[in-house]
Amino acid sequence: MSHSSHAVSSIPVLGSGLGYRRELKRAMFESRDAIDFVEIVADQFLSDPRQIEELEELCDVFAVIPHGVGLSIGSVTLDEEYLGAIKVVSDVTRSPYYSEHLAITRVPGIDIGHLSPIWFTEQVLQSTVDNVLRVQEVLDKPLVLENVAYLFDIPNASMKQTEFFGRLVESTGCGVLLDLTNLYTNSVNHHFDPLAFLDELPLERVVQIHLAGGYWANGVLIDGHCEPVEEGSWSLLETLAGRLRVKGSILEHDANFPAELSVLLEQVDRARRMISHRGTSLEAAQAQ
Amino acid sequence: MSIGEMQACLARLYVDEPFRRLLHIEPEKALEEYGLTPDESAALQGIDRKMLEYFAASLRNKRKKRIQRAFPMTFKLDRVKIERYYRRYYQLHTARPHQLPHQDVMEFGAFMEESFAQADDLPPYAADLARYERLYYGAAFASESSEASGASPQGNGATEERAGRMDARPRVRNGVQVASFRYDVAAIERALEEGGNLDDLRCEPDVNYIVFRPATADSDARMMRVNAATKVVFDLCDGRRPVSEIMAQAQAILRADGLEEAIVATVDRLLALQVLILGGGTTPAVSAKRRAFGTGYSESM
Repeated sequence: MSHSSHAVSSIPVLGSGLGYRRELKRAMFESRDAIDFVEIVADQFLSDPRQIEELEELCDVFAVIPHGVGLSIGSVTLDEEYLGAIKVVSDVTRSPYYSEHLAITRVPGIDIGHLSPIWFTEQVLQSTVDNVLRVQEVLDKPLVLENVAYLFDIPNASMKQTEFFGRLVESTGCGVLLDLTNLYTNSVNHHFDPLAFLDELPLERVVQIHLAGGYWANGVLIDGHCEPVEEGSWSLLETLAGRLRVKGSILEHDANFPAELSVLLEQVDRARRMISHRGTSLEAAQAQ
Repeated sequence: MSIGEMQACLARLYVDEPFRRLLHIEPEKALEEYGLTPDESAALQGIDRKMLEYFAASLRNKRKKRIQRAFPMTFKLDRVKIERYYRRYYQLHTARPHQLPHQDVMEFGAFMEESFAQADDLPPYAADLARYERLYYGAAFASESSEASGASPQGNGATEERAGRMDARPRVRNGVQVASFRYDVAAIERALEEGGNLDDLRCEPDVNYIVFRPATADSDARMMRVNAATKVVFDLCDGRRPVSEIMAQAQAILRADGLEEAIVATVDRLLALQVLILGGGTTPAVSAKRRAFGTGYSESM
């Protein structure tokens, strides 16, 4: 399948949802009416067939989007074994797309253990384009890539991240998962204007957003997914929602789970209200 | 042309502290192992050193958190000293692609046991404690195997099984292990949990046998202390010996007669606890020696 047939534009509006975490399972099932869709971490469903049963149970109740962390799309070569494994998860969900991070997590002999930034160069762009096309061919659906939080740049890059994203989506037809909290966090830690980043990003390819809350440690804002969403991230959503119709929003919360799910659902609802009633000036401009 | 080399070098910088130091002290020496262009070499040397260290520390701590969940008592022994051992482990055992998290946890446990066994600055029971936690983690993980969770035909209704027939051939359920400890690790664990003064704990060397059983369909993973006689019976239940032979050999080992009823009762009790199952003798029985060295887990994972 060529990238032209992976229609990011035809992805339906999903609404506002919550990242599925097993610690929240019961509460999420009890609050299913307040959650438009859920996002699973695909890597948590790869090691045992019974995890697929769990996933099927989840899919019976929710629209499910698989979100991976181990693809290492920026590596020179893809891990075909891993790709085969996520294909199973992706197929079970019948999701309109599969999302991952624009990052590196492994090289031969080393599992880095976390998302690490890629070097924005022509060579890396070319290998990433090849990888994205291969992933979309295997999964038979669009890949949607997320901007990551990073503690440092790799110097002497030949292009900005926004240009890298722009050329990547142009060459592959893939989509963008815009993590507004990562953007906010990076703008704080690296002292740049997040609105300028939005100006430069191919917003028409933004399929979904992420929101989360972090914490400060040693003068660094950490994307911890463990606190309420900062106002800085909400402000970016306000701006973004004024520019395009955000099809899906996911609140990520991985630790410090509140006693009541309502604490998270209030944020899910806030995002829903923001993405539901905002103007779509970009879409309107494109339509003209 | 060398982007793969660049990425390999970057990843090593993230996880290898001496390599990071070498890069800053002697960059040409550090980078000579990699086929890099001058631009790539300059980019690597230009990475913000402080933030690189911060990122590297976050990777080290993230992995430690996962390991620490499996070894809560070991990490309570002595925070500073255990951290020192952890950092040594982290440096020597780089996480590999396709390595499952439980493999990392088990390797860490084995490393700690070996290290503690020759450590004179830790309590004498430290190695036992690390092994105890490793075996319990192994049993909990083995719970995911189908037999361990009671999903196999043999496993279902195990509590109904009895060793009444002399030709029955009981065997150890997959994932179950019995290990001997020189110290009363269960008491040590309790004391650590309660925050008691370990100096007050009498830790006299003795022989303690503990059975680690994965979760079953109707109960969680558990540990149970057994006596030496039960251990003898347990070791004889290899799926090949019928109950009649187990009785004869156990009496010979224990140098006692008239134990038939007690031995059958022991086998029944172990069946009821789902430590043993009645199965044809097709099980790849783990030898007592291998179990003692704690490697039997690999067969069920």
